[in-house]
Amino acid sequence: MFDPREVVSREKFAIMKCIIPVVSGKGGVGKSVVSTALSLALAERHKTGLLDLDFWGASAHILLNASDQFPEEEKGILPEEIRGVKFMSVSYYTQDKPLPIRGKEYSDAFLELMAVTRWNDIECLVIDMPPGMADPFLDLLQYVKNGSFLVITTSSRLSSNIVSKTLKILKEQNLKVLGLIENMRSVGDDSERIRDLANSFNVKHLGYIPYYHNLDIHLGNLQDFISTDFFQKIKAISMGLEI
Amino acid sequence: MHEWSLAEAVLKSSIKEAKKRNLKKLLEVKIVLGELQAIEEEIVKFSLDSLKKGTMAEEATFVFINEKATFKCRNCQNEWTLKEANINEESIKESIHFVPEVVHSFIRCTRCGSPDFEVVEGRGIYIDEITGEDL
Repeated sequence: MFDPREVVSREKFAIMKCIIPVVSGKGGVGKSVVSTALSLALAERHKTGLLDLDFWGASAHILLNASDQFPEEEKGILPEEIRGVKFMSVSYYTQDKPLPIRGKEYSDAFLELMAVTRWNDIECLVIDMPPGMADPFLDLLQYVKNGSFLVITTSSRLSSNIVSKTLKILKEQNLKVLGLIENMRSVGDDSERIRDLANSFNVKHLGYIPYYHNLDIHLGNLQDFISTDFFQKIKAISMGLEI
Repeated sequence: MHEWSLAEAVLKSSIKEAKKRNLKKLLEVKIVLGELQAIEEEIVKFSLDSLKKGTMAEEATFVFINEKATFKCRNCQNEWTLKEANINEESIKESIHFVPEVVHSFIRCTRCGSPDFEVVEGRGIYIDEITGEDL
């Protein structure tokens, strides 16, 4: 008895030239907004996909203002294309209801989405990950051997402590880390803490993004969103990524 | 017709497994179809028959076994069937057809109302057994 989805899921990841899982041990640091902005920025130069693997807290569909219809089917499922980004999320199938599932069910849904989604010729896949190091993170490590991880933190001591553990695992597993983004920095935050954290793991501090008080009003309207300073900051960071 | 991609997955996995077992060709693949996902057997069969051409599965027969879906509550141990879950809305059936786990968005334990239940059997597609000719 064996699961037919495992082989094709591994294959689909293995042939992708660039996979960027956006990770953080800490929740609420802005992974989804960064992932979405990054995919929109990369789509200006590369054929790009965005996969929202945060099944419990899927939110990239709100940021992208994705359709509430099922994606098209053609020998699989074709991701919806939004401003050049091919997008896939479990949110297309939950009708905006909660998805209270355990790790085993998470892994099954992850494999199902990978097995049936046809990413076709994308050059870069950005993955919006849930926080933590439970099944989603472990599934990612198991199935994605060629990822270039982007780690998100805030300037806070709590966040940097938890993110140091994420970095520890990534380095221990010899995985490629593109660097750290320090998000939501406010006046008075310790400006050296995250730089020191990056240095201690020999990873790049890719830059900091200030806390934008009114970013929220620009979310869900892509034209507005790409005109924000936040988006421009992410775009500038994306230009320097070694992908 | 996302069944095509599942058929591709079945064929690739069966061939990989056959090679691992040093088989020369595949003769039979037993495929279990879970009631919950409601996969169209005819479409999977059609897809497999198209995809197998020119592969070591060219002469293979695909045998389908249908498995009833049952659920078990992790909170009160209640067990129930898909029929008892009473899912009637077409859009919900279709959502579950694409990603069976979203059933957790739409049903609760029929006794205690808990969302914490497992699909014991009949979730989706898997390969039960392959047989073939030795090298």
